[in-house]
Amino acid sequence: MRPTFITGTKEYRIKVDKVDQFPPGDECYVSVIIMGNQFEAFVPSSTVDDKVPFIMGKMVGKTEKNVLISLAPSSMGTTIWEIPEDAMDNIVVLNNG
Amino acid sequence: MVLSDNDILAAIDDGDLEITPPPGLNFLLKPSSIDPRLSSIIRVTRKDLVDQGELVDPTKLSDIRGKIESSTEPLEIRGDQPYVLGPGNFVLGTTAEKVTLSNALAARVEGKSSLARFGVAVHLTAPKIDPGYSNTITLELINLGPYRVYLSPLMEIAVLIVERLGTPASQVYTGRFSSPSSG
Repeated sequence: MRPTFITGTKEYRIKVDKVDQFPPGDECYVSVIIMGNQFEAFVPSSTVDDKVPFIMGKMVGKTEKNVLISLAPSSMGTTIWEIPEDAMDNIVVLNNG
Repeated sequence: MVLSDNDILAAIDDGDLEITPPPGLNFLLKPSSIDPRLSSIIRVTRKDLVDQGELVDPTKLSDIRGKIESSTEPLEIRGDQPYVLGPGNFVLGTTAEKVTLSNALAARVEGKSSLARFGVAVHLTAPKIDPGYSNTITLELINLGPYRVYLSPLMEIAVLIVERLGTPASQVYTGRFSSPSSG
């Protein structure tokens, strides 16, 4: 289904299960299990708090039942997670919200 | 549209493009590109750490990270002690410059002819840099030629071609983490 893009929307802190450095650049591998499915990404370290841990992202679009969360681009490209809308409350916190 | 030197400077002035440290007019800035330099830390592949016949699943990001972590090691190179990239050798590197693109720009990293003439590629079929990117650029350096080639810190290592998108991209996140204490 063709997504509907949304501009100027909310920035989120997304809880993740695992954060590992990804050499050679200043980047990290992150992963999280959401409703039984594994989501992985490479993201810049500047968008990661490895103490909690969480990563920064932004809602950029919607499909019928899912939301599209864009993560900051890395040397491996841009990751866009398509997350069930029902799961959002459990994994994200509105930044400064 | 590929940005010219004038377009690149205008994009920097407009905040669409940031190069850190800034490119000198007669140095990194070329008529239709910026030529970034090699940083002093490279990541050398240790063939002895790779089991013969070991498989990589490139669809699993954890596998990509794990294999790179386990089969390479960091090495600092100096001007008086350059790294010698021998025939068939492969190393990972990064640019000394950090590049930040707005959601209106994309870029491609390409090879320099002075290296290409001797069979040295600086990326392997993965030149695209997405809008919103803000980091140093990762390089995949491989010597496909017959000569041993010096790699020195701050040598001009690649060509960065910046392009303006027809319309700004929508699926771009350009923020960063800031701790509560840092405001």
